[in-house]
Amino acid sequence: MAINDNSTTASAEIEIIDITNSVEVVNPKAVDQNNRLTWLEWFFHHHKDKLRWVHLAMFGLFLVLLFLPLFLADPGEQATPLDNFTVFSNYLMWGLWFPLVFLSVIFTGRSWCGLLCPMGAASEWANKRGLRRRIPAIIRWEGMPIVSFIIITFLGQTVGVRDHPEALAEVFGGVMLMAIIVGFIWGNKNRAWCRHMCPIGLMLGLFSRLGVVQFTSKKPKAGGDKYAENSFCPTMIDLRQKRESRHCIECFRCVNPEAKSSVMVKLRAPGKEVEEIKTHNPGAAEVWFFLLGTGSALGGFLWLTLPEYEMMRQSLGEWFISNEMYWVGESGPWWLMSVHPERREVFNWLDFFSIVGFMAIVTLVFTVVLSAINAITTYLAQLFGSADNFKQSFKELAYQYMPVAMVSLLIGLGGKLFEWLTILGLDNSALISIKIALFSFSIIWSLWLGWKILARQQLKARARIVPCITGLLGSLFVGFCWWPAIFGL
Amino acid sequence: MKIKLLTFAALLLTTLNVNAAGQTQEQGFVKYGMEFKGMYIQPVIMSEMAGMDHAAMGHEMPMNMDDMDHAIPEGADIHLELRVEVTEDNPYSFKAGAWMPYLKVDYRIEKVGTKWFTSGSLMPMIANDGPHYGNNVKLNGVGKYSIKYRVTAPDLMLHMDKETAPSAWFKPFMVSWDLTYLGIGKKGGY
Ligand code: SF4
Ligand code: SF4
Repeated sequence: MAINDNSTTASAEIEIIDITNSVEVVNPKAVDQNNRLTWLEWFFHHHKDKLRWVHLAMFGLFLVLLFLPLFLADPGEQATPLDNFTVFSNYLMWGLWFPLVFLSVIFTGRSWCGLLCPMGAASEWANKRGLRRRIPAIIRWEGMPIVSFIIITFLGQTVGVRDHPEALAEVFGGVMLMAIIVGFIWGNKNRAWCRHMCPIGLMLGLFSRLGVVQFTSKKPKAGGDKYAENSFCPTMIDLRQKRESRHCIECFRCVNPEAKSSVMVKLRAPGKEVEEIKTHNPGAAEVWFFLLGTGSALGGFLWLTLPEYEMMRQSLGEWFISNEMYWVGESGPWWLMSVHPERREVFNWLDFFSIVGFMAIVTLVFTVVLSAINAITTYLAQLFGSADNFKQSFKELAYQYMPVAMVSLLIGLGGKLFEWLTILGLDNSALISIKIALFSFSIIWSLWLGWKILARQQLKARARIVPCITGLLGSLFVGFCWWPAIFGL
Repeated sequence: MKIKLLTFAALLLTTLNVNAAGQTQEQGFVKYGMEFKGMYIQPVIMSEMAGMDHAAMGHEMPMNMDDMDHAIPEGADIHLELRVEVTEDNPYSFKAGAWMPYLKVDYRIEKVGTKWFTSGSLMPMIANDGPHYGNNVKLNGVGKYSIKYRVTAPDLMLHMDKETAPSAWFKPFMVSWDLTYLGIGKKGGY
């Protein structure tokens, strides 16, 4: 059996993944070699055996950054990243690692995953020595990484992952541990964790669709991307039909510049894949992620900023007390909530419920409002003669929010990047200008994507104007939600 | 249960007056040309402990801190404050809105429905939102507390002559306040 064969048993069971409604027929001879990065292919083809050393070094670095601070004394109130290792490690993770890795998907795709990530590498290492069980359907369920993303975002807030080194070690150590366990049990010479479960991989993969790097089959078969559990590719992509960026971790294993029928690396215009999302497997799960993922990240920001959170906590608490439920004043286990009296922060069950409840409300409201706006856009597109049915059109149009969602997540979760800029000497008004510029750019890009997606639905230029306006309203709504994050209150 | 939920919903709607920067007494208490307001925030680090930081920040160390007990008591739960603002018609010709210095403020806190109480005094101190009387206090778990402040006139010399004496000086009096304490919560959270 050929190693990259797409076995029929596997693909028959996994029809959720192959949801291509409209199939673009690709003529092999027509695949052009323009913008091919042959030198890059050569470089990695010759050096890919050395990647393991990079992974090992990254593994060591991660262990030091995550766990060394646990053995150090607490930093003082005025400690800076330049004079205290704990603060330094925190700044490195939240101020550099997260925002830079996240931004990198635009320029280099999921290169973090394939080239650097120690967690994915550890997962694969464990897989080689593990049980190699068949990947069960529950793991293959497309909602899985969304669930893990939401759990991480909520847990991150209740344990204070941005403030406490213990929480940082718990969350990232937890991801690493899960990656190793999943790798040890399931999958055969691949990375089930990275393909199906990793919350970071989901986020990077999704937004890499906007990116300029594309790994594409030299002799593509028609039919769009497919899942192939027996593929030679660690994230189980059927290499003969490989075009999309979503699941490709850029490990370069399928790249051989000399071979006639391997995968080649090309540059493309940013946003191209999303403009043509119609023929690139638009997925309901991905749309859910824009909505729920961005919503929960927003919730994780707003509970700290909006006075309504304190009001809710106070009212909820007074209600518990007046009903003599004093147990809400007890603290739960350390891995569930932040209990650091020496740092003047102690969460009890009331705090836990308030944070989770508030974030859930924000997530829901955000999801409902943005989907309502998108439903209106879809309705208008139908009215003006969209070639797709409502459901398909809704899915495709939701992709226009990728740039605004991306900038939201960048500013919301990677806000510490801007603190580095302060250390470099930029003042607050300069930072606000940078954030406004980023946001405006993303809104314009979103508008452009909306225009292009509508064009693919066969709407004439004039007919696109109205649905584009409602689309813009959606982007402005996202911008409005993140207002406190950009300007403060 | 239904009624409980309803009262809870009503509470949600009626508590929109909670101040974002700490839990504050809703209505100030006005007496002798001063408005008093009780409030609390999370325990804070005060100058005796943070002396090094003040030096690092380029601030002058206060001169007379030695005889004051300013450390956080073991496991303090709140930083209790009394805000005092002079009103328009005060008899001492302070500018309206000014802070009244040199008061002596003692407190007694009782936990409602129990025999538990604690007492002590508040110190004059300054934060980024101005001067106030305050101290870190250890409470007895979440619940309802009743707080009484005893305010004594400043130990200041007074003009006593008919021409320049201020019109009134006051006897010690009480300001009281009820609060529901719900735990320390997020650092800097309220
Ligand atoms: S998917 Fe997750 S674990 Fe896998 S390489 Fe990417 S970030 Fe690392
Ligand atoms: S498509 Fe190729 S480069 Fe991408 S993950 Fe699969 S094997 Fe690696």
